Amino acid sequence: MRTSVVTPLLALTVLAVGFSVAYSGSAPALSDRVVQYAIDVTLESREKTLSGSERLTWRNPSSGGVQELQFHMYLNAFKNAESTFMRESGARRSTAVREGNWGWIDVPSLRLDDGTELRERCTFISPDDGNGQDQTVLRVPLPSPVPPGGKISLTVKFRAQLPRVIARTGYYGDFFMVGQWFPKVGVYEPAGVRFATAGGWNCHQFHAVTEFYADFGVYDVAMTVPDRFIVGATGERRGEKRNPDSTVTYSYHAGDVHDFAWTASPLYVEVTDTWRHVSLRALMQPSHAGEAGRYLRSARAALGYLNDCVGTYPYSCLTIVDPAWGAGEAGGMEYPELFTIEPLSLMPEGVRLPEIVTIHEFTHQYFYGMVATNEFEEAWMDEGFTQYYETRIMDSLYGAKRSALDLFGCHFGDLEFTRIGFTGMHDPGIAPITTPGWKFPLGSYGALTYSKTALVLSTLEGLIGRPAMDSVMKTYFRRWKFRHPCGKDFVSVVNSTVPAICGSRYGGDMNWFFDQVLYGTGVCDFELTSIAVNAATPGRGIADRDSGQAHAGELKAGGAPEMFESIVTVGRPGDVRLPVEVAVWFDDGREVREEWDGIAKTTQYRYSGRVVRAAVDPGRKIMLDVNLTNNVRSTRPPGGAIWKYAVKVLFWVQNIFLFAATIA
Amino acid sequence: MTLIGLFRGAFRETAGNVPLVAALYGTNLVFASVVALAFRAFVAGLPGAGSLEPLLKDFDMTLFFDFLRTRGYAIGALWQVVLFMTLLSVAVNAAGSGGILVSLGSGSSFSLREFLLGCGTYAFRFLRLLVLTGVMTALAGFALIAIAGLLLEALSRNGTSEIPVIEGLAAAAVVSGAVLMLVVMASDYARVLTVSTGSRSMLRTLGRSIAFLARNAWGAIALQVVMASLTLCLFALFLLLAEVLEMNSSMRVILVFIVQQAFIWCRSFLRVMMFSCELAFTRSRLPSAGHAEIGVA
Repeated sequence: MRTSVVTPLLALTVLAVGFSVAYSGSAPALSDRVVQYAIDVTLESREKTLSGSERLTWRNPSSGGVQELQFHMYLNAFKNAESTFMRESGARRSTAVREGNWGWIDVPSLRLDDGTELRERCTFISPDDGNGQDQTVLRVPLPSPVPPGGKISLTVKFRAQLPRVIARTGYYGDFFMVGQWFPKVGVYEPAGVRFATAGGWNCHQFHAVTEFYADFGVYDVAMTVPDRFIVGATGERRGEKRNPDSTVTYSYHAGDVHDFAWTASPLYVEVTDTWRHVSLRALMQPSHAGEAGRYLRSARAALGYLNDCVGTYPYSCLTIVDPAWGAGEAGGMEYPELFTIEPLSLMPEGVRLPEIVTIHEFTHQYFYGMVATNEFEEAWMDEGFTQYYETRIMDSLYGAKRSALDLFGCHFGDLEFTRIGFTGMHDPGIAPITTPGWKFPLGSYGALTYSKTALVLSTLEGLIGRPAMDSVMKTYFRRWKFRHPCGKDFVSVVNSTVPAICGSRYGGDMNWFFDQVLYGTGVCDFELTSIAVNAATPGRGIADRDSGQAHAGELKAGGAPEMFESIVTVGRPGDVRLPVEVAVWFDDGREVREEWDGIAKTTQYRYSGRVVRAAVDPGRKIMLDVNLTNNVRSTRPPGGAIWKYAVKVLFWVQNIFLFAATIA
Repeated sequence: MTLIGLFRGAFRETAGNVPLVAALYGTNLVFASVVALAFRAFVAGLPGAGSLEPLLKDFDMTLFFDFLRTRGYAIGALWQVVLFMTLLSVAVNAAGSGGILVSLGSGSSFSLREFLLGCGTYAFRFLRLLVLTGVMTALAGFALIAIAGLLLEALSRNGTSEIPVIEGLAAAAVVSGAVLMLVVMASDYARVLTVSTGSRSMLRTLGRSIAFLARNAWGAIALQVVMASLTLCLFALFLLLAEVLEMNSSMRVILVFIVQQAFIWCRSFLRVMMFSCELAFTRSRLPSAGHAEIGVA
């Protein structure tokens, strides 16, 4: 009975969905699709300009009326030395821009469907820093509010001068990387979304670091370029039309993305590959064409790993862009379904920078692309999560000790390299990683958002175990893909998932962990403070032990075995309190493992027997520990290791001296 | 004299003067040992040195960086030892080359008195020569850097590929190597000429050396290239052996130490052999060059 009712309903649903898909010509929506863009743009390759028209349909996602729109006009960040981007970047950057290399965007017309021209009403605003010279956010008051759930459509004409490549966008000769190039509407956050207590625009200025936050939607973009150019872009190519004026128009469609970027160059060599349902396309510089395999292999490996450990990559395309040499600033950048790599050449296989960059930028398709956090306000959720998975994927592919470099006997791993970024800071406690991107103290943004976050997640994984961590990340991805989560949403996922898997081992929630490492600035450091081994005074007579009677000890005289008492002292010089394991080894081969809650500043363990070595966190689960040289102590001198390096030093110094003898 | 004959003679002469090789090897071993033992004492004396034990099994970059970061303040003292010993080694080697050349030039069997006398007689002259060579190298270096900089700027301006720049850099490296080799050759032949003629003016002798090299460029360069190639082959052989012999146990450390010292001995042998070749080559092309009387010239 039940089957007979459900089956026709199911069939109807399938038919309806199928009809809908066939009619619209696109896949079912994965996101809320707040925006819809149809853009026609023409590239003048000699003048390095864009001219275009954009039809934008925006839906009010809130329950209140919206009186204005706000747009990103990010090419204006490169208009002069007074933009917020240039000011934050320092004088070195702005003085390096030569005359004629500046970039800008202008909007001659914004017209509503009813013909109302809005251009005269527009003003530039600077919500972040009040910089009156900054023109990267355009405020457009509307004649009447957009009702809750209502839509507004307008046609925007724009002209843009591309800068010579700077901050991942612009031209270099005939190479074009066109990112942050069109008037893009900001995010209207309804009350309750992220930190919003009332509905309002979240539209940040373009900063020296951090640049992404936008709503999901559909993009149909037609790009007209000289016909000698090869084009790559976000999404699927849907059309190609040769024009009589020696130009060609490429049409692309992308659904459920929050940005659109494209590239053009007559020099590209195209190399293709596939991974399951995904078509991979590498646009390589001619001199790098032979190295395309490294990038494609890495992208495939990342697709497989993240598919297994996080979730499915739902798009059908992925384009890898190799920027022209000299356009290095265009390298290493993520856009939906497209990313750029570093223009590297002749890189030995043991130097894994190509793999690291590829895997990092691809991982952004998840943490930025699908889980669309606000990079300006919480860059750690974007760069840090990506960095964490970059190290995991690299370490799984090449081994934890060789995943970053393995050359001429010198090797180190990607997570090790990431850790150095944080521990090498002059002051690792300078700011919490939750600081908004543009407010980080000078020089600390990268180390804290990339490295420290990766170490926080790695430490969390060390505490709860990888299966639990994978469960956390899968749940987080499933719950928040194609949405805009904030830090508290991630913490909430951890708090609901960890107790379900680990029970009450870490308490009812993990707030104690995040309060210290996310929102706090404390430094984590554990140490094996000391090992004291004392000859125990032999007991005499009979003593109670082990719930029974036993001889407490033998008299030392007469060849009886010597007895020892050992005291192992463990300390926490750092501020961060975490549970940690302590391992103790004895001269008779015994090994004892202890669990220390890490709350007190110090603790002691007493043993009968002779301890020869002890280590705090022997498995290196606490990657946040800033000093590992104080984690181990031994009662025996470290002879072998030191001789090994003394011999090496001797040999190389002898060689240097002999070379000196040759020239002396 | 043919090149092969020159090598054969030089090999025989060096093999017959093992104490000269031993002197060169021994001096460098002593100075290098001071640095190595200072390094060992420095590391062993640091608090937490026990944590270095895992390094015996495999190099641990994380631990190594933490070590540098947390104990780096003490490395300055070690650098001072290295710097001092390097300067001392350069000075002693400069003096020692006088002893080696005098011993080789005498044609008789090794005499410690003659060797030490040669060291003392030419020590200050060769130190002056070292300064002159340093100035010459610096001047050549500045010129090369300026030319390479202009070249790279021209190659990279509006270029769309790094390949010409890489080729330019490779060419600059080859030219720099060649210039350095010429400077070393000029310095070596100046020492040979000093011992052969008893000259006291190092500037004039350096000029004569350059003129000699200009007249006998092909022979001198062939000699230099063959000897340099032998050293490189030796080094390649050592690297192959080192790759096989990982130092992951105390026995392996001892074994690698022996291989290393054998390599250094061979290098010392080649250095003495080079002097012998140069001496014979100079005498064959410059019949006036003889063997100045020590203390008279």
